[in-house]
Amino acid sequence: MSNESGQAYGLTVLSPVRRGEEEVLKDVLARLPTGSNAPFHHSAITHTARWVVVDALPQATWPPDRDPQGKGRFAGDALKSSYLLFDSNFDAGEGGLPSYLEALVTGMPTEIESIYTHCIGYTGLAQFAHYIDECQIKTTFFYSSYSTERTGTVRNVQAALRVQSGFVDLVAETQGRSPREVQDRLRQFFAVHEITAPVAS
Amino acid sequence: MTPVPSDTTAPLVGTGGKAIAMNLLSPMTFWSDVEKHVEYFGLQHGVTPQNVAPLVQLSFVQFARWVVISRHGFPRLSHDQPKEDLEYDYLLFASNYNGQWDQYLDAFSSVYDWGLDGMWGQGCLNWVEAKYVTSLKRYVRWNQARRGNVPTHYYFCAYTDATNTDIVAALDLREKLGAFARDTPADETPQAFDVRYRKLLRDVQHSLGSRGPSPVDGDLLAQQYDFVEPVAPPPFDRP
Repeated sequence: MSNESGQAYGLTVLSPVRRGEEEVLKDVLARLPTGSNAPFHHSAITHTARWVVVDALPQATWPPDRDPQGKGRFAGDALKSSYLLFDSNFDAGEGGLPSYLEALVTGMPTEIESIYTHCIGYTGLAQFAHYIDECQIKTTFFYSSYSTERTGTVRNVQAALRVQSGFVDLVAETQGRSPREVQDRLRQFFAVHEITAPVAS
Repeated sequence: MTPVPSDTTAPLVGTGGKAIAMNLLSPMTFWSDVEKHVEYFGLQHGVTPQNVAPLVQLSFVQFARWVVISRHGFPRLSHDQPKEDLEYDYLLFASNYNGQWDQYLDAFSSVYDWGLDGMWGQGCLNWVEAKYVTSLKRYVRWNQARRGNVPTHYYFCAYTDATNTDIVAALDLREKLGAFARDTPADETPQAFDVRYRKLLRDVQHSLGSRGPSPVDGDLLAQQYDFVEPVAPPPFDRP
């Protein structure tokens, strides 16, 4: 299935925005917490996510040799509604998309409600999964650098980054120490970070 | 849409720490050919790909997707919602990458131009061969889903201080440390440990490094540069 690559899932959703509520929606999105306060951290299975309000479609240009007037012209489409694009890359796990949507509803209900209340067809958190199903666009080709493998989940990546920082500090601290001291220190490090074997094993 | 003069050299910015978003919507004339080509490229050659090996080697793209949206594919969820009447189909491209967009496109133009031509070159209007980097950048600016220097209205990345390279290195280090722990004999002497430990350090030296703040402060740049209209449209004349 092209929405998935290994254990990673690429979700693409287009939701029509209620006429006249486009700027309010942009303001809601601008006020959402970011960085370490971002609500997506509650579920800890989202690698990246974005919302984009698409108000217009890019126009194409026709070169002079294809324009009857020989001057070149713009051609393109004008949207009659704005659309909210939601793009998320997450760990599918055993529950797949339904579990992910449930995690969003559970972990960030206020944010989901405040955003999608401005979208046509949204009827509340209880029907969020059904709503997303109606708005989902199938991903044609999905590329992931590291999250396709079982080791590449959000939790494993965050743990690996902590291990990396800790191990760099350990190597610096133990320079010039005796092998026994380094051995003991490394044993403590493994215990703290619960390292007994490769994650992939 | 009225063409506007070329804008400043202000870079595109994101608000995901070291991760930056890019969203393109490219009008297409022959969506079925494009869909087949993208899917063929991605699925039959791409999953382990010598064809996407350059993407892996470039190492600054975390996630990317190509989505073909037919002219009838924009959801209509109410009879009160006006029905779209579109002439073109669209290729949505959404990417998460590290570094500045100039570097990003320079690298792709140099290393992976044939891959970009394979994706966009079959039916996307105004596509010029990706080896022409100036045209490529103009095309990218023109076809952004959100015009201006801030590509999204909200962006989240779970790893605010880590690039894709950092993440790949950290995962590799974790596996090697795990193997070291698993292979440690219960009664290992300090001398035998020292030999194995030194070998471990040699093996993981490329995965050791410290992560600092992003060299590009996306929020600060977004404040410094006003939202501007896009650059001049794709050229009427082909190179």
